[in-house]
Amino acid sequence: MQVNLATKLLRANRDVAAENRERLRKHGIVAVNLISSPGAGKTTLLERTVEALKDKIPMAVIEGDQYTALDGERIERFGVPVVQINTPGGCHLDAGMIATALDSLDLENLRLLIIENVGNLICPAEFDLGEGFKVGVLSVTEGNDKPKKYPVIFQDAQAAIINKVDLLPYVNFSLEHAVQDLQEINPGLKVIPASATRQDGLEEWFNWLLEQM
Amino acid sequence: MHELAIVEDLMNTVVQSAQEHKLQRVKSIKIVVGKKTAALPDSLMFCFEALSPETILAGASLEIEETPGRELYVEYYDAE
Ligand SMILES: Nc1nc2c(ncn2[C@@H]2O[C@H](COP(=O)(O)OP(=O)(O)OP(=O)(O)O)[C@@H](O)[C@H]2O)c(=O)[nH]1
Ligand SMILES: [Mg+2]
Repeated sequence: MQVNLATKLLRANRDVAAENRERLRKHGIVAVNLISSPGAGKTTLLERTVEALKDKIPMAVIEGDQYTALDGERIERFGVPVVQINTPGGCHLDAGMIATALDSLDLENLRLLIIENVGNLICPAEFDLGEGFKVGVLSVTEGNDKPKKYPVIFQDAQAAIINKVDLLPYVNFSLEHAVQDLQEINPGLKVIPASATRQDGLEEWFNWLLEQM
Repeated sequence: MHELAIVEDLMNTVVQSAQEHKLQRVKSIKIVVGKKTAALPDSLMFCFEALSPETILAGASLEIEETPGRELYVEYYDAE
């Protein structure tokens, strides 16, 4: 006997992601899923973002990390609510972890939630957390070929930040090619060259983020 | 990536459905896997062969249809 199913696989995550999305929508919260390879500068960018925007809009941060609370501690210094999630050995956050984290946040009084995913350009791209949109961060030290080699995140993202442009004089990275490749992969992608440490391009990022609210 | 989780979910789905239909042995399963899910057919096959013995799926053949998008579902299975 043949049984037709059409049952989606890995649905558990998608179902929980849909619940998260609905919960966030009800509270009018915009959630950003920030994804990059390890060390591209997600936390540094978040530090600058929290510093600049925390008095303009009520925000909170969820920090994903395999083992430590280091990133959570870096953000906590700015006095915004932070939930640290550890994923020992796990390479990505999933929707269930975000559901639990949402339980411990005061959703009534939030407008912006930024989720820093585990440093990894591959796995996080495949797991919907229920976010409003994804933002990919690529740093110039990673090499020009990365958008083409890891396209899934950039296909899905609403914006890509090309970070560490202060290092351009020292690395063989062509900003022009990177922008071209990213826009080929995803024509609607907002691409923002930036330096989180030297603070280049950050105004453009803040303004773009505020426009999404 | 995550082929193991996909195969576990696949097996649970089919076993549960087969039990509901009081079927004893699954002979074949067809799944559809989009390229954008980044799940590798060879790796899915390997996980399936590793996990299926000693279940009602033992010896079942797994057919994988690859599509360009994000599809990821069990289309049907054949059992008796
Ligand atoms: N030169 C330069 N260094 C930067 C920039 N942004 C971040 N860094 C440095 O890059 C290193 C990693 O930055 P993080 O912000 O911790 O990177 P991350 O993506 O959060 O790292 P993980 O959470 O471990 O994946 C730190 O030493 C930062 O100071 C930048 O714009 N320019
Ligand atoms: Mg970090």
